[in-house]
Amino acid sequence: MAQVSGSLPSPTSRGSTRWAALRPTRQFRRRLFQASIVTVLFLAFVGGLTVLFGTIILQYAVGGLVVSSIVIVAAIGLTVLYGIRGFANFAYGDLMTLGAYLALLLSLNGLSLIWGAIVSFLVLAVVGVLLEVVIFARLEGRGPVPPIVASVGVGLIIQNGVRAVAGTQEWLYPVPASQDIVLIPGVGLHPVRGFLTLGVGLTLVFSAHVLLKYTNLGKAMRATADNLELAKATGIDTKRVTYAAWVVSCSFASTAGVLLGLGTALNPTMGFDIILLIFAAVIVGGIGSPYGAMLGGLLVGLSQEMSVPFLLWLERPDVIGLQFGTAYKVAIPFIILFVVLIFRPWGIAGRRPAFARRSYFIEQIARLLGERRRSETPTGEANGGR
Amino acid sequence: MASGPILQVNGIEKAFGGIRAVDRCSLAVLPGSITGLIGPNGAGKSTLFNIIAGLYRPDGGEIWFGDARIDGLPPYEIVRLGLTKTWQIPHELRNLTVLENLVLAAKDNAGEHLLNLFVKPGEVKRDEIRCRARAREVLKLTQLEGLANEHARSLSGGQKKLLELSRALMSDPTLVLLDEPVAGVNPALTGSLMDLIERLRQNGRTFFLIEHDMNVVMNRCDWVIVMHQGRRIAEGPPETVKADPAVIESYLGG
Amino acid sequence: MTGGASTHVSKQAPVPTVPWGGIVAFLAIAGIVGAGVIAGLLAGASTQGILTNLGFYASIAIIFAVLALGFNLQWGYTGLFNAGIAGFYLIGAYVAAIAITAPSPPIVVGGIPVYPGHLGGYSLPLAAGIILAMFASGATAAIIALPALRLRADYLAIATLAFASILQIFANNLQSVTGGAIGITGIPKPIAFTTADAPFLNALTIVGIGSAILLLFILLLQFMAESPWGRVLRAIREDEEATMALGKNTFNYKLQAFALGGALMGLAGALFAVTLGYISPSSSFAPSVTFSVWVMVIVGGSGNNRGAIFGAFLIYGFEWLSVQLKDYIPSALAEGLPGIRSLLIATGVAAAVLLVFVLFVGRFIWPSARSRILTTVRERAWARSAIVAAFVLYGLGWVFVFLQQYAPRAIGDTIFYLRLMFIGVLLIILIIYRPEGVLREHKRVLR
Repeated sequence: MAQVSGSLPSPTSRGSTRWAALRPTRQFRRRLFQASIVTVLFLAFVGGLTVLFGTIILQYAVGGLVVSSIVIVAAIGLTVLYGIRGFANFAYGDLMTLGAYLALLLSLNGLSLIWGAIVSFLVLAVVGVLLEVVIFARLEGRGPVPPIVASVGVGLIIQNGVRAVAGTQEWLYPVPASQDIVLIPGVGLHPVRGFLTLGVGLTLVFSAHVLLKYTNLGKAMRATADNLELAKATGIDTKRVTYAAWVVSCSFASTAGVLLGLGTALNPTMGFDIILLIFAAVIVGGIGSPYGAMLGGLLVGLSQEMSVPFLLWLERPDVIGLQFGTAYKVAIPFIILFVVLIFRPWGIAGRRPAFARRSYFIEQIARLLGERRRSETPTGEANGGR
Repeated sequence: MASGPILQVNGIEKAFGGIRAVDRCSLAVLPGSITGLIGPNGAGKSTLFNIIAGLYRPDGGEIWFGDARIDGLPPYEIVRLGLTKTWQIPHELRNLTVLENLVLAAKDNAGEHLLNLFVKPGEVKRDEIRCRARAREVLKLTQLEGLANEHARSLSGGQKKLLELSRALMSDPTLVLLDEPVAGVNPALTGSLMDLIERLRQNGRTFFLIEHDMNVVMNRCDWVIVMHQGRRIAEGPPETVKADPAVIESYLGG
Repeated sequence: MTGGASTHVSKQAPVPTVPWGGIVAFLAIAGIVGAGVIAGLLAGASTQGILTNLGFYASIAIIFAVLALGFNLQWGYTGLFNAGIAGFYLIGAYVAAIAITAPSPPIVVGGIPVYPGHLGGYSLPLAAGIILAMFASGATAAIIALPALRLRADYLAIATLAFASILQIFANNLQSVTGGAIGITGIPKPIAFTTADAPFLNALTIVGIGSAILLLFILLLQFMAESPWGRVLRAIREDEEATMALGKNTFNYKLQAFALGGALMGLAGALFAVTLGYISPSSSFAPSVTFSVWVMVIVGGSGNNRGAIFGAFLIYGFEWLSVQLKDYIPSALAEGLPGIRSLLIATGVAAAVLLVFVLFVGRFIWPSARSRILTTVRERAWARSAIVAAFVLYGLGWVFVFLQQYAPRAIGDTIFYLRLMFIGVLLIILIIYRPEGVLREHKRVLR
């Protein structure tokens, strides 16, 4: 994420030095430009579809935004841990489940759900630090696979612990039933499942942004995610940063779990069921980059929901008569994930690693074309060349 | 032996992020020579070796090995053509025995292709016997034969370096790139190793080696090439290079 | 040459001559079988009933053993971490089922489609079904491998997990092909017995066929894995770059290992379809199957085919045993509650006395033994873990007593989940302290 930025304009040509630091860098301006183009294109795309098919498209888009906000909160937590600790936390979904159930437990015992969510937030932060101290600190330097295996073990423990205590039936949060609030005719948004989710999502995204950009801890976290050895060498306390990463990761997981529970019911596999979606968002956006996680989350959530009309169209007997077409909507983000893994594994916001070989297919094609090169005779001399 | 250079590097470029590790480097190695490649740390020598051996892909330029152009080829094809490389930090296969490490380096072992196990069992057996015999020969050359059935991870640092060299010799290569072959090895062993290399050179092989040990470079190399900041800045017989002011400044100034 | 290249090898722990791993393995499985038999006897089952039950254990354990062998080829030998085992398993099961089942059209009762029907009705013989299943899984694995094997280990895990999930979605929803959520039923057994002894005879045939297949493939895999080809796989696992530099086209080898492992998983699926007689896209093909196979291979020892089989029999043995004991334990607890409570109290008192002795009194009475115990505890991780485990078990004992008094029904289910939590704990402990497994990979001494 932290690329070498373009040079700052010299003071004499652009005004006093006092304001020079605040002036947006060339790289920032380029990114902003790219983002605006994409947003405009997307709005045009949605607008076009709405003109063709009606306001139902907007309903799906809004639904997609709600799903996206849950995914974004979860993905930020996951990507922070992935970038700093360097492994894929397969227990993340079950941590979300744990957070949701803790809030449920507290809300059933008299606390309001809001307080339940806050306490769950704090408890999971402690859980995260415990996990690091007891398990994951011992697995440092053993490669990418052992922490994944250990995280699967943790997930098994959490998931079955929840089952043992709360049973396998579905629970519901004690939230009063309410009607969708109508935005424009044909497009409604539920006050709790919709507005509250979006609001909480935005708040958390904003707090993550503030934490990472403007606090010393945040800068240390970004540096460690970028290059662990360099961070250690420049004196950053990577142990503290690691604990901070676990705290952020698990507490975001708990909030994402509560939001998820608000949207659907609570069951022991609720988190694990969507973990692949979160991974898709993280990888598409670029591991270790929270801004990438936001982009990835948007992409994943919107693509999943907005594929529904397309799948409904496929269900029609005169097209292919696909049965239960809408059940395949969860496969759409996976397709995006596969495409990204094949052609650009470092994601949108990631940087191409130095030794990346080109994707298999591109390399095969280049080989076929390159067959011709090798029959040429040598050119240039020892002291010449280009 | 070919009349031209056995290895020719033309204008190779390689950048990592914003750093140019190899900056339009051109050089040539003559067949049957022991050529040294020296330069201060960070000059791009190991990177160049990795590019020649096919492990990195250059951003630009050409590499010719004899009559064949090898840049862009995968490592296994370059080994097949007769060019092998050792690693600066030994990359021994830790949980395999020394003998297994070496037998793996042999060329044309029929048993390594799955189908052959079933359709040509006789050839598989013959090739395996042949490769094991050759492995033991090479181990005798580098005096490691007593360790043949020990796990590679239990070797000392110097022994691992010897293992690297043994592996490089297994496939009967024409050109061997040695990346700091005697770094961290005691002087007596260094002497014997370089004697071995000299004997092998007289049998027709070419050696291109990166070394920081100036005794080795001055006394054992026919020709020395100097790299600095990713390109060649000087070359010649050892004494000439030693006295070259540009070379001295590169080591002092950097 | 003089000097350095002596035959001195740096000191390492001497290889133990007693095969503790093997002994532990044998005892563990014997224990499981014994406990199952006792449970059956206590439940009043006939000899034939007990044997049929054991036959069921053996058949499913064999299926998991084949899965474990496939995963061992991919990960234990080649270092490819496949998180989508359940997907290849599913393909094998469905392809075999579709191939060998009789036609089953949709069933509509009073205008409501009760059963959507499925693709098939070819009624091919079992052997053809198995071969088709292996081919389908192997080919899918090869296709997936083309883009996926370039990915590093964690990306490969995520990609294969996603692949397995997508397959589950397809199996659940592509109703006309797979029978939807109900799945495919009425898969014919290899020999159709009609007598009253049928369940027992069926179990016998399945175990017989399964064991024969397992034996065949163990021999085949040992032959392949200990060959020069297998040696390249192990080299790739150790250091892929170095292996490339030795002149091997590592991608081809990884592709072959992955495809063959996938074919084995397909074989397991086919056996599963035939053993059970029906398949559905439910928990049989969920990611927990993948995780169980991981545990089996990690417990047994990666790169070690015997270990994979042992791991399968052991871990599935726990599951089978917990089902056997599920009804028995709550009632036994209810009957023996006062006795159990006194036992726990007695154990607690004894442990407390022992602790006091070791920590305070022993200094005067038996100093050498005391100091030896203390240093062992201080230095050896296993001693500390054993103490922690003992405390946990003791606590669990009290939890059970408590539950039995206030929520007797919860125990049966809780045991079920406790078993899974135990597998999670086992996974964590193994990967931290003994990733090479119970049965060590042996040194290949070449002549």
